[in-house]
Amino acid sequence: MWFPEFVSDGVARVPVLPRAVAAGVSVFAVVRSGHAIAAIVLVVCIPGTVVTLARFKYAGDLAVPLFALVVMLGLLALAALHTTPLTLALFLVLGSVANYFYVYGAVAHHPELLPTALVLINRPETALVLVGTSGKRPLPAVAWGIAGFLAGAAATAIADLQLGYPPQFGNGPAITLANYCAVYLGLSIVQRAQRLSVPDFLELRGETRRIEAERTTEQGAVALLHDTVLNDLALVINGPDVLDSRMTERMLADVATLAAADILRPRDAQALVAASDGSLRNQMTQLVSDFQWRGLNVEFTGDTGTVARMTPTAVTAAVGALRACLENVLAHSGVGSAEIIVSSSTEFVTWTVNDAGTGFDQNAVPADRLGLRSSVYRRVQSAGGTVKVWSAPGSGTSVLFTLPLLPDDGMNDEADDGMPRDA
Amino acid sequence: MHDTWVRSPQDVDPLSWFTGPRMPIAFSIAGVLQGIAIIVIYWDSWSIVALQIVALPFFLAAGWLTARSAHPGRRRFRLRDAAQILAFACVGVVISAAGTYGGTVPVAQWWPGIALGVTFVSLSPYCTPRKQLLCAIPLVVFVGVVGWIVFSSQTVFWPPAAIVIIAVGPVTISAAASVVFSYTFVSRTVALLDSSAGTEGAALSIEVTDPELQKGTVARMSARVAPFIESVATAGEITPENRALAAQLARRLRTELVTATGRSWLDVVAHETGIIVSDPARLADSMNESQRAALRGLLVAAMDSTGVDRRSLLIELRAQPDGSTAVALSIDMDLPEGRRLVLLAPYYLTLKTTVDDLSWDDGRRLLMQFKIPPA
Repeated sequence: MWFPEFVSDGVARVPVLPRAVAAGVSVFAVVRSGHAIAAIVLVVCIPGTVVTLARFKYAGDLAVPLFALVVMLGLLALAALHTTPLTLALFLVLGSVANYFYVYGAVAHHPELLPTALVLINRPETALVLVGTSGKRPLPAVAWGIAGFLAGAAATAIADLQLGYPPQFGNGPAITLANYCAVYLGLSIVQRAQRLSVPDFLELRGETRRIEAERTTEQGAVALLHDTVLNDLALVINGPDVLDSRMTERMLADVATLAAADILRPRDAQALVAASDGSLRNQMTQLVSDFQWRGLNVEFTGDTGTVARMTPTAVTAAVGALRACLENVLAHSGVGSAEIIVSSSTEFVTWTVNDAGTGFDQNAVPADRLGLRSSVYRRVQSAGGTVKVWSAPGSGTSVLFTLPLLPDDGMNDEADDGMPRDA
Repeated sequence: MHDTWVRSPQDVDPLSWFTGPRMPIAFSIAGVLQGIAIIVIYWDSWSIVALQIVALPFFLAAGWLTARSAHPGRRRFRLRDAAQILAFACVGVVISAAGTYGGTVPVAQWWPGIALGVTFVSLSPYCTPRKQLLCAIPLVVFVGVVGWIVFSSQTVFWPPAAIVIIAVGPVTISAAASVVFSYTFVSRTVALLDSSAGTEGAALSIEVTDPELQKGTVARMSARVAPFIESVATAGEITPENRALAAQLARRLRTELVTATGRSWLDVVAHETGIIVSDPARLADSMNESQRAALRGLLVAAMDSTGVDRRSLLIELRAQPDGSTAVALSIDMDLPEGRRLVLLAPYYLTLKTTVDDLSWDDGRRLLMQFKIPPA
């Protein structure tokens, strides 16, 4: 079917998200579904506990286990609605304490519930495994899940040992952990494979624009030639044997117009490539170091082996835009980490700055607020690049900007200083 | 938000779910492996262990059916597809239940519930949240009834309601997780796609007005003529030889200018790749930027492949009575189906998001047809 919503207010939008952004959405959706499972497990555990204890005439001992479950649900809600490393850590630490009280309260005076009721008693421990991650990459979720499993198991073991029983965990948490890890590892493998086989649609779109730009330019050149050279040739074919001064001046003026349009290769810029590349690397390193000192953990990934054949103008724009992006993360995102992904083709180099912070509604930004508009858009566009921003409240922000590379015609080899050329 | 319920993750971002046929099959294998582990652990507790083994292939078959239905070249995933897949898995549930009734396996360890849940989860990238809900409700009722029949007389520890809750637990949790996943993915992706609109125009204008590009084009097209005109103007006289050469140059230049004026974007691509374009009405220019990018990506990927006969690639564009443009693309490919899928499917899927009625006839000669809606 045709999707009319791909045109919004007369402005075409991209039909598919860049892979780095889509990967973050996938992880976010999996984390959300994990939290939904944990919520269902805990909610179902409430009537399960009531029915089981009441069936054995222990209804008077319900207060502590039920309070523990309510506390875990509250912590889970906080982590799901405001997913940050802090809220996830709170869910694990305080959730494990609540798990301890649940196990202690449910089993304390009722050893006959074991081992049959383990499927009920280990439910809070199962919920702790489904902690998820606050970032946009799947592998950290595995570490969080293992931490949740160990924390829950430790709380259960302590409660059991205090009561004088051998620790009993049941199979539920381990099966849940295995499935949880399989999902996130599978997601990681799929995303890695896709980075190799799936085209970068923005790059394709950029090349398509280049073709269209060339065609438009060619149409303009046709008009110019039609107005100048063809008229001059007609004059030569049909004009008098001797040209008057007005005719001569017009013909020479036309030739001068055409001569001014001669190709001027930016040789001076090419000569500066080696210096620009080294400068870019040094400035990037300095930038990351600066922000880490200021409390923002910056991770550089992607195609970091790229040789950045950029003009000094583009280098300045890239560093300035990255600095502005990281300043925004530090000032507004509410998280302490950001990820910079570098990718490149023969013609462009692209940086994606991801954070898993609060995000913002782009349509709600007042027109008089400069922000990204002046610090990133104008800076990058003035160097011939493009910028795209993906953000929504609660879903973090991804800023993707692309800058053109100079053609690689072998000249750069001569300027090699023997140092690695990381973008 | 209402729209979110009737679009699947595959609809809004087909590329994320392009994993060949492997993902649903991998899910079904994972579910079956867990089933095998539980069957072995409780080997003596089943009433008829052979029936457990007979039930396993039905879940594998459900995974294979899912992979087949989600093939990039097939039509949109329908409710009927999901129902057929789940019905297949339900047959496995019934067979396993027959071999469990009268045994001593705990209800919490009844593996078909887990395998059915995994089958359900494998549908989530391709199925809309609404379709998932429509499938989930009867599925949960079915598993609850089967679980109650099998386990109600087996244990006195759990009341009947608890037995039903434990039996339906894996399916309920899987269904809830799948619906939440699909809904979250669709709503977040659409929000991000919408947020990207409006950031395109400024960048395009910068590239189009590139002065270096314009200088180069003018210099190339006037390279032979400019020195001639300059020599005539400098001499101040026109000889018969000048007139003859001027007529020759004018004829060539006029031909070149007419060709340049009539060149569509697809002609430029044809010049790059050597493909044959049949577009007498110059309909290619009615394609928007996204359609052009997706089609060009597909063409370049096909031309770069070693198994493709470059000379065989033909694109035909024809106007339709309803104002749309029909596009047919054909190409000879000497590639096995798996490699062909890996090579072309990402581009095909991207193109699918931008055009109508895209079809893929996957024989040795690959045929694609689609329609570009009227502007």
